[in-house]
Amino acid sequence: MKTLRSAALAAVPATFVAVFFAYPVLTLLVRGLGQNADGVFGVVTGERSLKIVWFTIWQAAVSTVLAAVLAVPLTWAIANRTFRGRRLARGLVTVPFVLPTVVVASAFIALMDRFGLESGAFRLRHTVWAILLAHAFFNVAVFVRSVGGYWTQLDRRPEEAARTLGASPWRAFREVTLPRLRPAILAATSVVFLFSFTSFAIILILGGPRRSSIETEIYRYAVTLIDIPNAAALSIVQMTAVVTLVMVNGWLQRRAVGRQGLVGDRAIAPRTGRQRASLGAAVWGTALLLGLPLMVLIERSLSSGAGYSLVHYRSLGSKVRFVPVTALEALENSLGFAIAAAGIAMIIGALASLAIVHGTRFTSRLLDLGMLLPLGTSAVTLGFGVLISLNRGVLDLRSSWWIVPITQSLIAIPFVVRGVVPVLRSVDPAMREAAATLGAKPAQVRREIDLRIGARALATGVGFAFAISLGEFGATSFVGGRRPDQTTVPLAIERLLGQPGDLLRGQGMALSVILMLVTTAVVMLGDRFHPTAGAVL
Amino acid sequence: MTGLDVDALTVSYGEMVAVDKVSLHVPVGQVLALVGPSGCGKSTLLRAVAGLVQPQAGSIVWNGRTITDVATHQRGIGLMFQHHALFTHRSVADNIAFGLKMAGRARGDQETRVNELLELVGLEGFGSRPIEGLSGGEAQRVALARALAPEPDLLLLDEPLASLDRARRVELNAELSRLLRELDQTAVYVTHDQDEAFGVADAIGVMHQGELLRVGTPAEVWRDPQTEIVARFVGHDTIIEHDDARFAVRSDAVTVVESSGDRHGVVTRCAFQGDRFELLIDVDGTAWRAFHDLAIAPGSAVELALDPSKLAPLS
Repeated sequence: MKTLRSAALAAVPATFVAVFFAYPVLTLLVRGLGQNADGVFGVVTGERSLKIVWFTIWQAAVSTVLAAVLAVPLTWAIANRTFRGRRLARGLVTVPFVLPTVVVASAFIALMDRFGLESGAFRLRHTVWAILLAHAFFNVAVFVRSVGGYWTQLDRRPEEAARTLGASPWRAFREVTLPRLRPAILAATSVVFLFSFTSFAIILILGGPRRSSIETEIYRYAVTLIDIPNAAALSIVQMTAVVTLVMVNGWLQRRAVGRQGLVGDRAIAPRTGRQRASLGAAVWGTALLLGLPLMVLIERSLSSGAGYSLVHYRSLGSKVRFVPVTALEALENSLGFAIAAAGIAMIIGALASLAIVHGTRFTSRLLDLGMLLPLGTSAVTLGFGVLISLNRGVLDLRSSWWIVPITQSLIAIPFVVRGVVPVLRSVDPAMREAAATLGAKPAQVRREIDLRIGARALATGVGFAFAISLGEFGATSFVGGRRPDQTTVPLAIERLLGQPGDLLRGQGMALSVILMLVTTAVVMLGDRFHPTAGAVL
Repeated sequence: MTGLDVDALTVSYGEMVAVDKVSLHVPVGQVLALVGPSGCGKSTLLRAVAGLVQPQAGSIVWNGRTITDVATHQRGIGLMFQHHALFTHRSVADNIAFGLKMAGRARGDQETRVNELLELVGLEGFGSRPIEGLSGGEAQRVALARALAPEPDLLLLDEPLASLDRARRVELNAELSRLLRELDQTAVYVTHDQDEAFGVADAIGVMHQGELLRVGTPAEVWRDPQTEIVARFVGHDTIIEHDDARFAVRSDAVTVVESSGDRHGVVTRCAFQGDRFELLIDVDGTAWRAFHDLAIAPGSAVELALDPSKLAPLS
C-alpha cells in the first residue's frame, strides 16, 4: 500500500525528467558515440579540442581563485562582526550571483566602454581577463554565503583554547579555524569551479569570436557549423567532466554538513576604532567592487552621445535590425515563459520533494539523484539534446511554445527540490504521526503538514525558478532560436550587444537594466520567505 | 470484552525483538501505566497500539473490534507524544482544533470545543498564541488538549512529562491524574518513573526487555513484585535467601529496634527526608533500607526486626 502510493507520487516527476531530460541526453550520447567515424576520441584529441579543453579548465581554476580572494574581506566581516545592515549585505552580495549571465556580460561591456578599456594598453575587451573578472564577480557570493554562514556558526572555543595556549590571533586562525573551515571552503570552491567550467554567455559575449570553451564550442559546432556529430562528441566530454565535478561536489557538500560543532551565530560587534575601520573597509570595499559594474551599466544605459537621457529606454518599443522582435515583445515573451516555467517547476518540484521525503528508500534515492542530474548538466548540452531528440511523433515539440518553458524548468527544478527537501526532512516525524492519530489521512498529512511547512521554501524556489527562466541563455539559445517571434530578453540582449553601433548597444544596456531589476526584485522577494540562495549554495 | 485487549503482540525491528508476545487488558475508564527502563519496549508497544508501527504477530482489539490492521487515522486513538510534536506552523487553537477539522466538524463546533479544552487544561486566552513562545508546561497542556479534543476512545501517553523539570512534573502529574479520572478516560500511560506511574494509574505493567513481567494495581505490584527485576524496579533493592526461597525485603518489613532484633547491622548512610530518615544499613555485606523517626549516625550498630509477612517472595 505504502509502496503503491509512493510510486504514484513519484511517477509524475520521474516521467517528466525521463522524457524531457534523460531521453534527450541519451539521444545526444548515442548520436555522439554512434555517427562519428573517428569516434569521440578523434574529436576530443584533435589539436583544437585539446586547446579548448585546457582553456576551459584553467580559466575555471583561475576564476575560482579570483572569486575566493575577492570574497575574503566580506566573508570575514559577515562571519565575525555584527553591524547595521549585515543582513542586507548578505542579501546584496547575492545579487550578482542571481543576475542573468547576459546582464553580467552587459555590465562588463559597460565598464569597458565607460573607462575606455576596449582598446589601448589596458584593453580588456575580448581578453581572458574580462572573462575571469566577470566569473569572479558572479561567484563571490558563493564564498561569502556558504563559507561565511558556516564560519559564523562555528564554535569559537577551540580557537579560544589555542589563544590561552599562547597562539597569536593570526596563528590561532591558521592552526585552528582555517582547518575547521576547510570543508565549507572546498565545497564552495567546487561549486564555483563547476559554474565557471560550464559558463556560456559570459565567454560567448566577453571572450569574442576567437576565445572558445567546451560550452561555446558545442554551440559553434551545432548552430554555426551545423555539425551535429562533432557537437555531440564534445557534449559527451562536457557531460563526463560535469558529472565528475558534481559527484565531487556532492561528496564535499556532505562532508561540510555536520562535521564541526555548529552553535549558532557567533559574530560580535566591533569594539575598538581599528576594528571598526577594518570592518568598514571590508564591507564598503566589497560593495564598491561588486556595485561598480552594475552602477556603470545603469549609467551607460542612460548615456546618449552628449548627455543623459531615456532615449534607449524609449526606443525599446521599436524594431531594430538583427533582432526579430522589439525589446518590449521580447520582454512579453520572457514573462510568459517564466510564468509557465515557474508553474512547471512548482508542480514537478513539489511532487518530487514529497516523493523523495516519503518514498521508499529506493524511489527516494533514485528520484533524489534524478532531480539533481539536470543541475549537473550544462545548459548548452541540455538545450542541444532537447533540440535533436524531441522531433518525432507526439514528442515533436521543436516548434511548440512549451519547449522553452519545459527546458527552462528542468534547470530550475533542482533548485526547488534542494530548497524544499531539507525543510521537509527537518519536520519532526512525530508531527506527522500526531496528525495521523488525530484522524488525518495520508493525503491530509501531506497537505496539512508537509505542504504548509514546505510552502515558504516552495514559494522561494518558484521565485528562483521564475528568475532562472527570465535569465536563461544557454539552453534557450538552442530551443528558443527556432521561432524568431519568440525571442527572449537574454537572446535579444546578446544580439543587441553583438552588433556595432551605439544605439543598439545602448538599447541592449537598457534592456539589461530592466532584466536586472526584475530578477533582483523577484529573488529578493523570494529571499524574504526563505533564504533559498543559502540553501542552494 | 470491553476496553483494550492486546493479545500476544510481537514487534521486532530486524533481529531485535522490541515487544515480545505481550498480552494485556485495560477495562474502559481505567488507566494502565506501563513502566520500565528505557529500551524495554514500552513505547514501541504504545506505538503499535496507535498503529504507528506494524506488529509481526498478535492482535489489538478495542471493544471487541480487531484493529490490528486498521490505519492510524481510522483508529480513533489519541496519542500524546513524548516531545509534544506540536504543529509549530499553527497557533495553539489550530493545534487543538486539528483533530476536529479532520473529523469534519463544523467551524463553530470546533471553536466551542477548543475553548472548552483550553479551560480544561488551564490555558484560557492562549488560543491565538504561536507554539514557539510556550513554556514546557504550557506546551504539555496544549499537547494534552489536542489529543483529547476529538474525544478519543483510548488515550495513549508516551512519557508525557519527561521533558519537564521535577517540580512541574509532580504538579502536572497530579493534574493529569485528576483530569483522566474526571473524564473517565481509558488510557495507557508510558513512563520510566515509578512515582509518576503510581500517581496516575489504576494498574501498572512492568516491562523488561520486551516482555510484560507483572501487571496489577500499584499496591499489588509494590507488595508482591513476584520477580527480582520488578522488585528492584519498584525499589526493593535487598534480596535475601531463606529456606531455599528468595525474598525481596520491602522497606516496610524492616524496623530498627532497641535490642534482640533478627539481624545486626551498621548504618552506612542516614538521609533526612522531612518526616523521617532513610537509613542504609550494612547487614553481612548487603545493603538494607529502612525508615526511622530519628537520625542515627553512620557507623552506629543497630538491631533490626523483620516482619516475615512483609517479605515479598520471588519466583
